[in-house]
Amino acid sequence: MATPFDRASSSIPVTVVTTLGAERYADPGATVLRLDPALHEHEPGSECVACAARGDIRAMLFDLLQASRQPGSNPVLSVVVDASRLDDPKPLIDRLERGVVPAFGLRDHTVARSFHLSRII
Amino acid sequence: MSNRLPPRNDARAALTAAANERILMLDGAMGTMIQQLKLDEAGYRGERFKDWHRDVRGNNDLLILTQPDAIRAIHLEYFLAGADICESNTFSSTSIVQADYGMEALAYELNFEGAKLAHEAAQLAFETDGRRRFVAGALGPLNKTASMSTDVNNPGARTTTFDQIAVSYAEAINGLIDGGADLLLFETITDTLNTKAGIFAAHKIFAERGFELPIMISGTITDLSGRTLSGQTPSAFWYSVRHARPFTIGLNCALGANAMRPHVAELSDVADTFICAYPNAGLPNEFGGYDESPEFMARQIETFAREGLVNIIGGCCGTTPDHIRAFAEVAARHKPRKVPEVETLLRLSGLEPFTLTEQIPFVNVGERTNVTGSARFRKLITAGDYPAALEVARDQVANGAQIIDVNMDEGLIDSEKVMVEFLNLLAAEPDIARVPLMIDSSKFSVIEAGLKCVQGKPLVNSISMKEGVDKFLEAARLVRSYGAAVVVMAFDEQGQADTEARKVEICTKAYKLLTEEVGFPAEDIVFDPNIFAVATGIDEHRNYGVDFIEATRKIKQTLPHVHISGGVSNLSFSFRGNEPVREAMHAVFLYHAIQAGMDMGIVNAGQLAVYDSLNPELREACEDVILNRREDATERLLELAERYKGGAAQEGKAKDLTWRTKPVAERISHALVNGITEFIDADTEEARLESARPLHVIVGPLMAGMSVVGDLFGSGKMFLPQVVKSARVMKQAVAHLLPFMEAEKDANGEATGVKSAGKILMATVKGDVHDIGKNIVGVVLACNNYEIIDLGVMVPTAKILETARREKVDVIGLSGLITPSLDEMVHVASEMEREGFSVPLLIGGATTSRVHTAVKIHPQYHGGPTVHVHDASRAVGVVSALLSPEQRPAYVADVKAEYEKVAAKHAQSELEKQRLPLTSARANAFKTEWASYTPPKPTFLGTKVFESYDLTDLSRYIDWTPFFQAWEMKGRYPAILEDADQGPAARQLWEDAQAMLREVLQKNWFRPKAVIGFWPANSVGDDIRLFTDDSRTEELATLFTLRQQLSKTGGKPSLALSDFVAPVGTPDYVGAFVVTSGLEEHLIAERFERKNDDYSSILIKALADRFAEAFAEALHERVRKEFWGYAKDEAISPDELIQEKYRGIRPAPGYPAQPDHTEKTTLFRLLNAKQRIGVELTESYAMWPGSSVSGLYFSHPEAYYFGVAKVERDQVEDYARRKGMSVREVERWLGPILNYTPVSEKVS
Repeated sequence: MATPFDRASSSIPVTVVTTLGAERYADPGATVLRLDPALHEHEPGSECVACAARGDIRAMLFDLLQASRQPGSNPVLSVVVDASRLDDPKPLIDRLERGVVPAFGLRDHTVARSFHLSRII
Repeated sequence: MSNRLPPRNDARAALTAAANERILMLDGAMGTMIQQLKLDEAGYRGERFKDWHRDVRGNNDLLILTQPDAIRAIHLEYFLAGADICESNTFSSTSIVQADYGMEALAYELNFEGAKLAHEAAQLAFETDGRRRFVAGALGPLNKTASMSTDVNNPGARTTTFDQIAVSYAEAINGLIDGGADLLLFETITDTLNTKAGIFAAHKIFAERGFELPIMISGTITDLSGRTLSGQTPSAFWYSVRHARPFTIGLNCALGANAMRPHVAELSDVADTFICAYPNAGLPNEFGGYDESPEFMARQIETFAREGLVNIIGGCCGTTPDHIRAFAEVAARHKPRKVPEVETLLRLSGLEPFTLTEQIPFVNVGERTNVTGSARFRKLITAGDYPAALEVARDQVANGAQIIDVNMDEGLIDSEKVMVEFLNLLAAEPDIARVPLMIDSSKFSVIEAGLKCVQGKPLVNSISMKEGVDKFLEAARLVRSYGAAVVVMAFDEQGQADTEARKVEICTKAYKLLTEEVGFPAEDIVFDPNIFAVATGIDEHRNYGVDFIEATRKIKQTLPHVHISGGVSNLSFSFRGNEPVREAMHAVFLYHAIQAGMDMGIVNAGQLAVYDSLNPELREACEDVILNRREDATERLLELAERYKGGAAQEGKAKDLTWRTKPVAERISHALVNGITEFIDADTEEARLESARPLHVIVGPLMAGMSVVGDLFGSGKMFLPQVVKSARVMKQAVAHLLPFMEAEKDANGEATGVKSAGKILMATVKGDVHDIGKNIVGVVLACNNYEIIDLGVMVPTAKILETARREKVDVIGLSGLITPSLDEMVHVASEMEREGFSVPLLIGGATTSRVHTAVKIHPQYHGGPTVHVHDASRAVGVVSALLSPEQRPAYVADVKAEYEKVAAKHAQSELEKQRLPLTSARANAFKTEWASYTPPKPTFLGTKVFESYDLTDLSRYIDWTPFFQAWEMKGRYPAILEDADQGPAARQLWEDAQAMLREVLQKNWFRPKAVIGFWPANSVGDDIRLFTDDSRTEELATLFTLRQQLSKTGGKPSLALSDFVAPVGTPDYVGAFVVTSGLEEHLIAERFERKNDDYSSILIKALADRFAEAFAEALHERVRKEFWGYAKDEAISPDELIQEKYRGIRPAPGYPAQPDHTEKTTLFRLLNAKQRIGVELTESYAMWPGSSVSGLYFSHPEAYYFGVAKVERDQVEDYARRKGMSVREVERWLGPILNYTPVSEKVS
């Protein structure tokens, strides 16, 4: 499948998996983030501050990046986000695409520079 | 009228007096209370806005106008529950936020009426019980920010400006004041710059009106690492807003009380004003609500009070009057926090705080982002090459600049515009923006433009009385309103001060004006008494060095708390082109000026010679000039300068290679002192060849060199950046020696011989990059003949332990500055225990404390002593006590006894913080009238296999929306096919999918299989017992379930799946299923892949997954209508199916309602799924083939999906006993939902 978004080579590709069990199609060695359906969601535009803190895919990627920058940690080469348990992965995907959902915090800029959405399964 | 509330003009005094006596109460959440009103759109609109052109439901502030009685009643409820202060319902009543509803014109009215309503409630409460109440006019966050771009593609862009925000807040503040607010409260602050604009507006209004209201400021920490959304730490945030002279500083929202505690504690330490904290009722649950009960939360709040962290307590999201009542009760048992005396020091901030303490003898202000000081930077800026210009700033910070100077004074560019553009871009670079800025311009308009761009507390460089006292005062007041510190040049209408007397006179006059007329804090004043060129040949210039140094001495003596700065490069102006001499002059000048009290300077730290390593002849000549010691000083230096000019004047230190001719030990010492890495490998190698053993090089010349560094640092002749460089050289030398030491060990079998006082491993823990403190401790210890192995920063535990073992170290020292490092240290300690270490563990760094060490770290590590080292000066004492066979036993016993006492005290309070005990959760189980309910009986008992299933029938149940999402098409099916943009592509994909689906259906590519079963069942406590037949005499299996242990509010039950099954006595049933699309999908996908047809391969896999889901849905429908048959008449569309609008649930093990994956074993055994339909469990309890779905069936009409969330140890132990598994194994499988640290991860 073609890569829909070409980004700088230093940027880490993120694959979003929306179908159950589909993470097995992802690259071997990818870092897998599983999203818990118990995390609550808001209507677009009415996100609360608390949401900005947790359950936010950008916050999760930011944490991942921080962790991977430590010596001795394996570098993150690619990320698979298992969103298959979410009712609607669209808000999540929107938050991964550059410029769709506004940046809320400084870390959003860091995440945008360090990752790109490469494909959705 | 004696029963009227007193007027607000003494509000601050009255509140201060009360806050010193008891912990005051703020109110709880307004939004939570409004939610309970369950208003619809019409309710929000009221009569006045019934024809408004936009939906307004959700605009809670509008209720001030449309439901005033309800809002007043909520305020009154909070007041009567114990609140001293209520917030007006004006969180979003700024024009900027109201614009979302088209209601920006209402902003003033909302604030006015909002304050008025709260004031009326305060009056009613006062009439009720005679207690005085206060109204805080709430000023919430904005949906736009001045310090960040919302567009990641354009980090320099801004959707609003400081000025626009100030105007919007000013309107709101005027409304609040006119409506009767007693205080102003900036809350839920996610962008500090926005709030700085608000403070600016407030102070302007106060000045206009001639009175002030007390200001409360409350930030929001949104990161687990303890940062605001705009990236600041709590201390940095406090320094940024301290100029507001707030009545309180504190935190609210985003976090529950426990998670907020460490950040409140940080503020409590640094803030010399009252602390106000109002956390959320825990974290949002799966429905976006909050669960922590008043009692549960009050226990956590009590720890705030007990530890003396707070003066005002309240609640944010999810809290109610019951919470406030409960808080008031616990708060009354404790004394309020005592406002600490905070040392009067210059405190600046970027994203992180910077405090000019005594431990920092001199601050190097980075000068390379100054167009007047750096030709390279000027070229980049004039060419508009911002990316490269940012790299210059980044390098500077990476090389240790503690503050960076930004100056855009260049005739050919629009300085104001470029300053703003550059600062806005810089704000998006966390690794640069972490340090404070010096905003540098000779034009005040440029300075002011810059001040409107920075969220931290910067330094302004500079203002002066050049244009008279009035202009000076005006500029100083503005600087103060923007919350910056200031550099004041010794300059008045007569010109720049040149003599000692003039310098002192002007600075003294400025000091008086600033402190007495403007109220400028003395510690925020930095004087620049002008460094002028010496050795110019002009007689009047001869004494300039002495004038500066002596003026510095006098100013520091007579004007308390001020600082002295200067541009050092001016001094050597007459030696332009002769860098060696210039560097020598700077080093000599700084050495003397710093002793006199100069503590800041714009210096290129990379080009600074070390005083003691200067050629003595040159040093003396420089000293003669600078200290004006000889008539012929200038001539002598000029003469000497010729010789030092050398060939490569630009090369800095490298040009003078005379030191290369010295003996190797001296060369090593020289390299260490001067931070030169160029020759260190060769020199170390030479020393190694001369030594009997490689270790001798370390304990010999290298250690000797480091002790010289330590002495120079101690006596103020070397500066931190230089010491860091020395450490780098040392590290490189040690790295060179390591392989030889390894080889020697291999050869000898073990290390022997040379005696250092001890070997100490030091590391800044994983996740933390701060190492200055650690480096100092390292240098100090090294100077005392300890061998230091410094692993640097961000060191993972494994590396620490592995190195400690390999190097057979005597002590391990951990360092960290940021809060998360504390947890990492705990982890290191527990790993040391696990791996059987017995060496002492030292803990140090700014956030560490004796209490944390005693409570969290010490108990993890029993093998050896754990000691908190308060500062570098104690390191030697602690280490020598620990390594001395005579002192050690008594010392270790003392520390242990002390820490155990501290820990025991802490443990007592921990006990009270748990979730609902299992017994209480069970008492709060879901209740239904089983007596009046007859559970439906399935049409068959036992299992039923579906060997094949009509694919065409199943395809009707496919939920296509996720299928399109899988191909990054956004939108719901079928609307997406008609979407303007994606329509064509969606239709193409749809056609491809339908074509493949037709092929699948025609050729029967998939062989879906399923097995379902039903059994007689009854709940027994939290378990579900299954029986072989309806006589219910023989047990078939037990399904174990887990119960929610969250504290619940509003009568919500603490659920377990067993609650949906009738207890013994009422015959009930449960079912189970496993469905799969079959093995074929795999084979077909592989076939496509072999043909390199990835598109079809993924298409088929996506279809297989859809079929498995569809199958589960289709079967569940038949179960309800046919096999269990309790919903024979159910007639709902596939759409409603997807929304689960039917009776009964089909939860799966491993999902939120039963997070224990191991329960799948029972399910698979009951259904014999492997034999019947070929689906099996992998060892990690995943299903194979992957396109499979399993679960249980429950039929109770009130059954619904829920999440168990975190469980406590009591339940895990109970569950393990019931399941016959070890606690450890259960903990392993339930790891993510444990609300405690399993014992298995500790070692005792």
